[in-house]
Amino acid sequence: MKCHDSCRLFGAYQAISGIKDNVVLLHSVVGCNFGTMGFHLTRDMSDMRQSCTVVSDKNIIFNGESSLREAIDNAIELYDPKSITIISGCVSSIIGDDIAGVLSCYKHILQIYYIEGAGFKGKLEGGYEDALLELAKNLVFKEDKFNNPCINLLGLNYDDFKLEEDIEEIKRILGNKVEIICVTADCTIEEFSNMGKAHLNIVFKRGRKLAEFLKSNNGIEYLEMDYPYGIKGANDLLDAVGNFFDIDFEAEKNIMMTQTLKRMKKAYGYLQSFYGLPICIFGQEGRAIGLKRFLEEELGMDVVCLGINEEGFVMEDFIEKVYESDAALVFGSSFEGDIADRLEIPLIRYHYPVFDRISISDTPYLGGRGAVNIVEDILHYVVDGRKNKGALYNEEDLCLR
Amino acid sequence: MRWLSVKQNYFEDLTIAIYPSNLLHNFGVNGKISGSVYACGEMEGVIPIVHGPIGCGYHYRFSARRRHYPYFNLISSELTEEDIIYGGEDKLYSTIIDTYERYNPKLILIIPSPISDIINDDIEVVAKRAREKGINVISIKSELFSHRDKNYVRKRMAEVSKQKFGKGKNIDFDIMGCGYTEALYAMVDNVMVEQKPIQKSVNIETIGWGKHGKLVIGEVEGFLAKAGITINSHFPSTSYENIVTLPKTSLNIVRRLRWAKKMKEKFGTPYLQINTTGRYSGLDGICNFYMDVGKELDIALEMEELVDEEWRNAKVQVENDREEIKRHKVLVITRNLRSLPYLIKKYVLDYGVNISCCAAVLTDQSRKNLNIDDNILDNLLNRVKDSLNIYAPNIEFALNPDDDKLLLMSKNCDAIMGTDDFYYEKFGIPVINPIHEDISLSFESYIRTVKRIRDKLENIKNKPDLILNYFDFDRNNYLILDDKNIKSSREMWNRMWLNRKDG
Repeated sequence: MKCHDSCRLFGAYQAISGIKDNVVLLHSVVGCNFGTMGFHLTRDMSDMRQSCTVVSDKNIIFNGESSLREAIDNAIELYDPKSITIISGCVSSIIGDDIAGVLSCYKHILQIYYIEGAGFKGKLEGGYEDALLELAKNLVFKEDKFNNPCINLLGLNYDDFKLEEDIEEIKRILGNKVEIICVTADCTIEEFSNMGKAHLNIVFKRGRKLAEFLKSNNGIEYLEMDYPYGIKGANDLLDAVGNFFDIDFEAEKNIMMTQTLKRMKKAYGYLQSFYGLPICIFGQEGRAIGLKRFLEEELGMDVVCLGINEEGFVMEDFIEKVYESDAALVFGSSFEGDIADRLEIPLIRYHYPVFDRISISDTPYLGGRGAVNIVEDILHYVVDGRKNKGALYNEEDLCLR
Repeated sequence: MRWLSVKQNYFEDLTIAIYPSNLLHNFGVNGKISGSVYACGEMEGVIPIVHGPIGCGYHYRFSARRRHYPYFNLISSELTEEDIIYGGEDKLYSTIIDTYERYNPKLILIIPSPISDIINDDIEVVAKRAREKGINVISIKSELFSHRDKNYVRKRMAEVSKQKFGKGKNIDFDIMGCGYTEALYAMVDNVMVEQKPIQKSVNIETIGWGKHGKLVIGEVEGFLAKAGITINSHFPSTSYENIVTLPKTSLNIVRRLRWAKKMKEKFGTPYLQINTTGRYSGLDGICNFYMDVGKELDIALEMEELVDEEWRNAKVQVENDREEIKRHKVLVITRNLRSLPYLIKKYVLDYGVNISCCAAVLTDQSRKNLNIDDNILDNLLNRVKDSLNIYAPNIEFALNPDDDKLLLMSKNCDAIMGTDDFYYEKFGIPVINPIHEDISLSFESYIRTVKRIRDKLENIKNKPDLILNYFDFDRNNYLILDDKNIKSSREMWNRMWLNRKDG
């Protein structure tokens, strides 16, 4: 079938690659390195901390442990990293490399972690969950709690579209009332270890195993929620955090509402055209459901096709449904470009992987400001669409008029 | 509207450049699957199945090589642990059936992965089983385990260095294990059917035509038509039906070799391998190309007349431009020592460039990566000297000059050519990016380029405020930032792949 999902290796990479003082070493063939790198470097060309042991045909015969040793030695010499995370791929798993044995020789030199990422052993979400858990099990969490209300954010991915802007936006709307200790997708090893100092974990429908681990080992409660798109999404986040810590966020909520509406008002005529508009959404649970709520409840669109990337989902069936629908917009990853192109309608990219758009401006998709940016992007995509679906006359020579 | 088509070709270049292939290749190469998926993506009516775990089927939908439309319609057999233990043949068979029922393609092409290679699934037996059900399906045979031959560029460099400048023939261009050629080979072996060749008819392989490639192929075809030569088909960018009848041609014009050799062996189809360096470089190269086609098709005399006429026409069209170009003094800088002799020839002979000084940059890292020993370096430098003696005698040539030296060399020059390294804007004179030089195998591309060079020399300005020059780039490799982690990732790749004895 057409793949809507990736393997454990990609999930593990997603979970770990955001730890800034860590080097990711893929013990695998070149394609796994190029594939993960392709989704990463198209988002941020200035941060490159990964390499590959380049498992070769000789490794198949004689095993790949010597390549792994060589690569670790090189990585220590070149990067001088605080830690290295080895993610193994299918081939090393099949040939039965004793990775733990190799790594035991390095434990006294630096922090070195190992995550089994063989693609045939599971899918992306499993790799993501297990990688965070594995890392947590190997760290000593600092438990002395901060005095101020502190939270961690779980469920984000270093290569998420708009990651940094969205994190900044959460910080902005929380103001100085709540501090964020660690965002697993964008932190250092020390910040990860400091997670134990927080009082609450906010879990955007991913990182549940880590949240459970921190609850049972460190007594940190967690709240699971959809990604906070729109005014309501942000309000829900503020309410959840506010209720937990007994903090009043009404002022922040009012400011966000006022500021967002002030901007939205400038486009009220356009907003009217969204009302009742059929659209389709594809994505991972927390993201897609959060976006659906925003688009339906706040912008008034009708989600006629919703594809959630979960067990049993068949991409082809979803595509058929979209083709049969009257959807005017597709929301998804870059991969849904083929659906949008076939229907000659715009694709609004919001979900990993986004490899054909960049975001280097301060334009989050989350919260009230995000709502404004999403509206702006939708309008621009529509206006820039070159193809006139159902046009009544031929516009090929339009520029000659 | 001609202006419009040229503008669109710059846009085409931009879409290629936006895909950060050059950057990615500093830190890795893609697996063989990418080449096969790319080739398949060019064929109408053909759908690929990657026989491997779900991750391969996922990321190769993007990270293959088609940059202008990066969403491949790629199916995966989604091998799981159970398949690894008991074999994935049944899974592959059910994937073929499912793909056929969902998409009803004219052909299904099975692409092996390193995983299916290791567990040694008999893909051909599965394909045969499906064919017995009336499904048109073939498979690719893996040439190498995971990825392409890393020594290809070095071997080519060593071969070229042995040739005296202006002498020697084109060196075959083919990379084992890149996946692309394997896919084409599979089509020759399993899809094409013996045909009676049509006289004076050619197939054109569509990969690797460089800048403005689509436009140039059209122009080449226009010239061939004047000689009464028809185009049987492009390859692989064509329909399944056309691929079946590809042997209907009397000549294959090719970039990659092995599939063409196989066609010659199987159907007797001759081939002409082309590139735009060496024998086919510059205006002479364009003439050589058409003359070689003429010889292959037994119309050498008619072709010579046409080529001669077009050559004279081109010369007349650029006469004034060349005169204007000559009025400007140019500093040539390049990092490509291998091509420099032909670059000098092209600039002087074809464009009329007044080369004032010439510099080549060959870093220690490049020497190591390309395996350039003292002997090869001497040979390469001798080729440069020979070229300079003919086309730009008495000018200063420097290997690896420092900035002070370059500043001195640039002092009386009006522009820098031969490099897209924006760093040199710091010297206070404009850099003419080779993006404007698309001289390929059509006379039109030659005329277009000369006119552009004139325009740039007359109008381009130095860019002292370039934002790029506020960043520190690695002067050994100006494609990457001077950042410890980035440079370490590059060096890791050099050590673990490029300069490793095995693997």
